[in-house]
Amino acid sequence: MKTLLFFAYRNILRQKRRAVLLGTAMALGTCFLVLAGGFVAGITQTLFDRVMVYVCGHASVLVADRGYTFRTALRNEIGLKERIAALPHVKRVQETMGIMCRMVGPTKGDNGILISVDLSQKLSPEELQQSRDNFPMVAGSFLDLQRPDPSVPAILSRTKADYLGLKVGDQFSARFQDSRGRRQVAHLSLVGIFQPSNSFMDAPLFVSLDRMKGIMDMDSTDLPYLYLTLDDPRRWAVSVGDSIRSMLRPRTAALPAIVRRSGKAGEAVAVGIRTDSVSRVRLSRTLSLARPWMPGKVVLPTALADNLGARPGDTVRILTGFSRAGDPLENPAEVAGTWNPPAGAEGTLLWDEDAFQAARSFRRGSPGDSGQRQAAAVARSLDSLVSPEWTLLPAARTTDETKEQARQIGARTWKSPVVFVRTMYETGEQILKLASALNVITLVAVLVLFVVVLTGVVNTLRMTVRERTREIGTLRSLGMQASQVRQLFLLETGLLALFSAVAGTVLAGIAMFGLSRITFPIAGNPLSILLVRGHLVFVPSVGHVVFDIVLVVGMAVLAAWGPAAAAAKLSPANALRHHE
Amino acid sequence: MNRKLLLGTVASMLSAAFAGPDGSTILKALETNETLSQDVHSQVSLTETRPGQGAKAMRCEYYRRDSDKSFVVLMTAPESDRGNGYFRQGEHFWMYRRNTRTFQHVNRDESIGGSDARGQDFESRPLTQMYAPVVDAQGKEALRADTVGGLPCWRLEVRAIISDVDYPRKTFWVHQSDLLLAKDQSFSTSGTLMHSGYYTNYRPVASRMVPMRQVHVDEVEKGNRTLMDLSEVQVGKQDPKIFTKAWIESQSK
Repeated sequence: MKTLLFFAYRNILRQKRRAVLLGTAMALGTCFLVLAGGFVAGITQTLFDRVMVYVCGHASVLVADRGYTFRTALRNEIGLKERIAALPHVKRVQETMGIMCRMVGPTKGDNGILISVDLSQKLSPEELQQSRDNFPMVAGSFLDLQRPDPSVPAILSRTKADYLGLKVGDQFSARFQDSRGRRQVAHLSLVGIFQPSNSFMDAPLFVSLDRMKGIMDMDSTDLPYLYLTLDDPRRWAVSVGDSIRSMLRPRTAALPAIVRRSGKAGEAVAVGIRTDSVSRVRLSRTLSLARPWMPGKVVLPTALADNLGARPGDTVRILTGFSRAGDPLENPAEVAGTWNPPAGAEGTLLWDEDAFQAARSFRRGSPGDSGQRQAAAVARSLDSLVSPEWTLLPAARTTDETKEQARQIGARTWKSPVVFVRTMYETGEQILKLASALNVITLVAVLVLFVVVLTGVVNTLRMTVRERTREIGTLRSLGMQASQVRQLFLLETGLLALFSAVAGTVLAGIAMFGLSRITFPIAGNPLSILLVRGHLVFVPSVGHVVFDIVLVVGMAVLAAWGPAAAAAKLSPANALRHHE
Repeated sequence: MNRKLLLGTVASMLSAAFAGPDGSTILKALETNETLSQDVHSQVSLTETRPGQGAKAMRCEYYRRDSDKSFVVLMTAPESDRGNGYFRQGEHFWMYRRNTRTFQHVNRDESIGGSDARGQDFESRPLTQMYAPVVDAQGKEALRADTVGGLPCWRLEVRAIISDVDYPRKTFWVHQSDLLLAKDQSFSTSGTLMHSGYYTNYRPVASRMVPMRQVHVDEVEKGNRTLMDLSEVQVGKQDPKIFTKAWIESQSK
């Protein structure tokens, strides 16, 4: 083998011009392959690590209240954020809100997205730099969002500020829908302007998280969307999502209530009961009610109904607490009948799920575990008719499944709040598909290039075999076996391909360095989302480079197989008689 | 003594002159007038005015069937919107786009066509279940005589009695003669005036009085206003096939 290697190496040097030309072609092909691979990996990394973290997190916990996709608060969930943050591989859990709004300046209005910024987050120097890259400030600073102004401090893109005719210090308004669905106006003061790094970054209107919770009518204990940043997200996103889903299994919902009628009142625990057509039939089979079970109805425990003197058809008022503004939350309900609750569920009334969940949604403060014992007892008796604290949606594995879930939420398939856990694989499926498509396009382009290059390899080797026919005859006469002749040609090609591939990789490294030093304009550049501080990003991986080199060498050897086999087949006598 | 008697007489006369309906009666009258017992079809013209953008005129056919909470809106103008439509049935609300020939389910809080209107705006709920008159510490309702366009009206302030409403506070002006709505104003939680509506040209429709002209003024973004005119109002049972997706789709062919 050592002798064959020596001969192969010597043969390459014997035909320097031919070797250089062939090697250059293969080196350029390898260079393009490594360069393209690094570029695609760079785009993917940029999209995942710099865009998706802001847009949807590596994993996220999302909420939609009773069919309202923009009511994104999970009420009174104390400690949930901390429990999620304690999960393995979770680097950070960030509360975030983003809602459509109408910004109104002195003369003009424009649509935008009101986005919260959690300034209490501790950022690493790298993340801080990323933040600065994404939002280079023209005036003011993000820390100005903490100013205790009477108006809510806000930061806008330069594009929007110019359009609205605003400068730092100016007052303006934003109209939006708060977390309880009411139309609201916030009075804002512009404390900063940033240069949008791309057209997507034009729309945000940033305010601090605590001020945003205030204008959105949320308590500090109400959780908006939670975006998670993970260690090695591509490896752990799915398992972290599954862990959170396990953590979020809902209990049966319960509310302490006071029922009033004609000056009389009695305490009860309210439990929600579904009112869809199937549930109505099931409830009518389980309980003997005087009136059909419909939305707006209540079933009172017999003892309470007797105390209130309430009969089927009568209207009672159910007080379930107080709103954040201090108004009593009292709703009318028509008595559909009475029931005798099972053991452990004494004093429990059954209430239309829609009204029950609305009361829970608007109630200030958590009822805690109050009524949980009774609710659990009712759940044992009435099973899936009972309304849960929230509906936890199953994992959606594709963007299409995600869209279908969104449609079901909007169609009010579930009357309770809906909680869903997403990972970047569902929300970023399109990005992953884009990365895969880019990889495939690159590979196909490179393969086409290599077909051209390898055609040259085959032709060159055929010429070499022809030129060296007598030499082959001599070697065979001296005792070299046919298989060794074949190996010699394959080794020669393999060595040339290896040297070329290594040279091409070095060339690709130089090209990456050079290209990444070029600064591209960001403003008005639709591709600027793929740039970092105006520079292209290349992320060549050792594995990818090794794969590329093996691919190039393998293909060259494969292409050389035919001519090498032809050389091996020559009989020594005929080869020695060969004359050009 | 005579002076006291005189003052008492004047006070009682003023009180008698003020005597009108209470707030609940006004709310109930507004609610009753909103409910139609029969199907309705009308032409609707909308003229949106935006500062710096001029006026945009739209026209549509409106079909309404309250028995199952259905309605259909079919755009007829401008040409770019012709054939587009909206369809609500029960809790479901769809938007139809002629170009793609697709129905898109609209969530309750989703903006419709980029406008300020949302899917839930088309859900009707009895007014008296949402609002009650504002009362002061003495239990007196915030109701007083006022004028709108020189016509005598009752001005009634109401507050939401449930949380699930767009505006927690509203003020209604109703004509003293027939308790028809003349004007309303809507306020945000923080008390900011956000919207004013003016209702004129009442015509009898299916034993109710319907304002044939409405003006909606955006009080936050000054200069934004929408003028809505109803015409060719027809009352009576509508063809059931109108309240189907297939019919809406067929109208754009």
